[in-house]
Amino acid sequence: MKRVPSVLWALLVFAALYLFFDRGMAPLTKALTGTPAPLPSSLVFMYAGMAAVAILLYFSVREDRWNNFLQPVLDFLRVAAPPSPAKRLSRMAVLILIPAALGWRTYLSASATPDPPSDPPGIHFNLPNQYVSVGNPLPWTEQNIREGGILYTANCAMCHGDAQDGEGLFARAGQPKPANFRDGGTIAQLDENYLYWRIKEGGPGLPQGSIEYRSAMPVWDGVLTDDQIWKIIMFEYTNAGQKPAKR
Amino acid sequence: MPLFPLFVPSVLFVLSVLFPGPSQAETLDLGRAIYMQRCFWCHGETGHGDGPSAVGMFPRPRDFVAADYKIRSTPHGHLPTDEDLLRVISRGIPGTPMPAWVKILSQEEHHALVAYLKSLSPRFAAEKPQPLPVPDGPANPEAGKEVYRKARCFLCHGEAGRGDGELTATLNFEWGIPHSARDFTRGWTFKGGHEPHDIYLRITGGLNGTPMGPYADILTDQERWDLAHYVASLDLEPSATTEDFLVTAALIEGNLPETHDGPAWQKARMLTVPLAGQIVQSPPLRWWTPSAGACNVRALHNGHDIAFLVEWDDPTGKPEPLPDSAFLQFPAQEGSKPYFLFGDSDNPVKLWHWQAGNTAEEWTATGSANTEVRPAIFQVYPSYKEGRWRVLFRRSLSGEPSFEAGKFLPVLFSVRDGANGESGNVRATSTWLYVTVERPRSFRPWLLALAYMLGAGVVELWVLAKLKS
Ligand code: HEC
Ligand code: HEC
Ligand code: HEC
Repeated sequence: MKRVPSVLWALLVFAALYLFFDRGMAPLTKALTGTPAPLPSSLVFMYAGMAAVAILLYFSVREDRWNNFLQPVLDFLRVAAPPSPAKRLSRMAVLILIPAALGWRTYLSASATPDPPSDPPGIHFNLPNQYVSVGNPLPWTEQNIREGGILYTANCAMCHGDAQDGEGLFARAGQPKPANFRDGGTIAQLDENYLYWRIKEGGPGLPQGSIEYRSAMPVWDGVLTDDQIWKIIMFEYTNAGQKPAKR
Repeated sequence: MPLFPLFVPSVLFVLSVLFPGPSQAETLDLGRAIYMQRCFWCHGETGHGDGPSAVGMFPRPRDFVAADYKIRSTPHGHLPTDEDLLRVISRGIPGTPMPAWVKILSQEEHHALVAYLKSLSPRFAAEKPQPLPVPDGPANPEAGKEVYRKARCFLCHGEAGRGDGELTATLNFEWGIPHSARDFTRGWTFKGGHEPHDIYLRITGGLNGTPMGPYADILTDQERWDLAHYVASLDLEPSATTEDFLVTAALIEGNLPETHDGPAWQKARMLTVPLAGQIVQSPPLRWWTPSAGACNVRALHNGHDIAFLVEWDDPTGKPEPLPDSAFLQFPAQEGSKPYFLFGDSDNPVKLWHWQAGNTAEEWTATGSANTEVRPAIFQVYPSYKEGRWRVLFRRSLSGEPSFEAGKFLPVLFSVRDGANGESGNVRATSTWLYVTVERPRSFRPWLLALAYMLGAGVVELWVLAKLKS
C-alpha cells in the first residue's frame, strides 16, 4: 500500500483543527455549559496560526521527517521535464488556487462588518476583602427558608425567574442575562458570602472594566436588611437544588 | 365494524391492572408537596390565588377553588381538561409571572399537580369537561379580516390588532378594569399559544373571567377558523431576543426620510429590542409593570446624517395625564462605558429625549439625579397611529457622540407610557446595545485582495525560479 504523503497529513490535521476552532466551539460549549460561546474570528485566526506552527515544528524536529515532508512538495513543483500534460495542469491549478483563495479570504474579511465587542460571559470575580470573613448568622431552618422564598418571589423572580432558571419576565431585556441558579455554573460554585456581596452591591459593585456598566442586577443594600438577604440566599440554594461550595 | 377503537382502551385497562401506578392518595400527596414547594408563593396555601407574593400582582394568580380557567379547549364557563392543565403548567403563561415548569418538574410531577389542583374545587368531581372540535380544513385569512370587522374585535384589539381599541382604554382608565386586550403583532405574548389552532379555541371559548368573551354562538366554525388565521397572520415582526444587539444604520443615497413609511426604511434591518421595567433604582422608583415590552428599531445614514426610527406599542396616544416619551442614550465620551442607568459620576451619558407635545431636548447625565438639559441638536418626527408611536430621530453623523463606520457605539432605548403612570425613572428600558454605521461602498476590499494575490504570485514565481536553478 502506498503511504499517504506527510504533507497531506499535515494539511488534513490543519483543516480539522481550523474547522474545530471556527465551527466546533459553539456546539461544544453549548453541550458543556448550556450557552454556545463561539470563538471570535480574531482568536480563530490566532489559534489556526499556532496550529500551523505546531505542525511545522513537528515535522522539522527530525531530519528524515522533514525530508519526507518536503520531498513530495518539491517533486510536485519541480516536475521533471518534459512534464506530462496531466501533471502540468494540476501544478498550474494549485499555483493559481493558492493566491485566489488568499484573495478571496482577504476580500471577505475586508468587506465584512466586524463583530460588536463582547463582554466576558458570566465569570466570577474575586470576593472583596471586607466580605471574606463574613458568615451567615442564621440557621437553615424551614421557617427562614420560607421567609426567604417570599422575599425572593417579590424581589428577584422578575429577573431570575420563579423557577430560578434565569427566565423571569424581564430576563430578555438585558445583556448579560440574569444568572440561572439551577445551572451548576452559578451559585453551586460559590459561597454564601459571595452571594451576600453580589446581592448587597449588585451590578455596580463589580470591578471596573468587567460588566459593571451594563449588569441590570440591582443594588439591594438599603432595600433589604442583612437578615433578609441571608434568608433569600438560603432559599435560593434550597429551591434550586444546589449547595454552597463549602458546605 | 373496526375493532381498533375498543382494542386500545382494553389493552390499557389490562396493563393498568397488571402494573398499578401510584394510588390516588399517593398522587395527591406528591401533588400537594410540590405545590407547597413551588406554587404556594403565588397561588396561596389554600389555592385561593392569595399567596404571600401575590400582593400587587396583575393578573392575579389563578384561584383554583373558584376554578375559572383562561386557557381551555372547552366552551366558555367550563372547566379545562387535564391536557389543558398539563400544558399550561409546563409552558407557563407568557407575559405574566406564571413560570414554565417543563424543565423543572418531571412528567409524573406535572400529573400529580393536575390531580392536586383538581382536588381543590368540588366542580371537577361533578363536571366532565369535553374538548371542542377544531376544524382542520383550509382557511382564508382575507375572509378572516372581514370577520374581524364584522364581529367588532377592533373595539378592544384595535384596527391594526395592537390592543389599542377604544373599549380597552375605557375599561382601563375609566372603569379601572386593567385588562389589556392582546396585541396581536407580538406573537410571543399570547397566553395560550400562537398557532391558529390555539387562537381558534380562545375565540370560540373566550378567556373565563376576562372581557374576552366566547364567539361560539356569534360566528360560524368556518368564520372563527378564518379569523384565527387572520389573527395569526398579524405577527409580522421579529420576536425580541437578547442574542442580537447590534443596530446597523444602512447606507442610502440622497436625503434621509422624514416620514415613517417610505421605501428607504425597507433597506434597514429591523431589530426588536426587549424592554423591562426600570427596577434598579431604589424603591419607590422600581417599576414592575411597564406598558411597553419591546420597541422596534431601524437606522439609516447617508454619509452626512443618521436617522433612528423607534416604534413601540402604546394603547393610548393621549398627552394626559402624563406625556409619553422616549430616549436614546449614548456615552458622552468616546470609548467610555457609563453605567446603563443615566451614567455615573466618572462617565457621563448623552440622552436624546423626546416627549409627546414635541419637546426635544438633549440631556447630559452623570447619574439619575444629575441631569443637565440643553436644546436639542437633533430633529424629531413623531407620529401616533393605531396604537403605535413612531418617532424618528435625526442628527448629523459628526458631533458628540460621532458615528463612524467600523466603530461600535453603545446605545440604549427607553420609553415611557404616561397613561400607565410612567414618568422620571419609572419607565421601560433596555440595557446597552451597540450601533454601527454601514461602510460606504469602496474599492478597498478589492484592492486589498488584489495586493494579496499579487504578493502570493510573486512568492510562487520566486520559489519556482529557485527550484529550477
Ligand atoms: C433587574 C433584574 C434583576 C433583579 C430584580 C435581580 N437580579 Fe440578580 N442578576 C441580574 C443579572 C442581569 C445578573 C447577571 C449579571 C451580574 O452578575 O451582575 C444577576 C446576577 C445575580 C447573582 C450572581 C450570580 C453569579 O453566578 O455570579 C446573584 C447571586 C443574584 N443576581 C441574586 C439576586 C437576588 C437575591 C435578587 C433579589 C433580591 C436579584 N438577584 C434580583 C438581574 C437581576
Ligand atoms: C410567581 C407566581 C406564580 C407561581 C410561583 C406559580 N404561578 Fe400559576 N399563575 C400565576 C399567575 C399570575 C397566573 C394567572 C395568569 C393569567 O391570568 O394570565 C397563574 C395561572 C395559573 C394557572 C391557570 C391557567 C389558566 O388557564 O387559567 C394554573 C393551572 C397555574 N397557574 C398552575 C401553577 C402551578 C401548578 C404552579 C406551581 C408548579 C404555579 N402555577 C406557580 C402565578 C404563579
Ligand atoms: C371587550 C373587549 C374584547 C373584545 C370585543 C374582544 N377581545 Fe379578545 N381579548 C380581550 C382581552 C382583555 C384579552 C386578554 C385577556 C387576558 O390576557 O387575560 C383578549 C385576548 C384575546 C386573545 C389572546 C389569547 C391568548 O392566548 O393570549 C385572542 C386570540 C383574542 N382576544 C381574539 C379576539 C377576537 C378574534 C375578537 C373578535 C371576535 C376579540 N378577541 C374580541 C378583550 C376583547
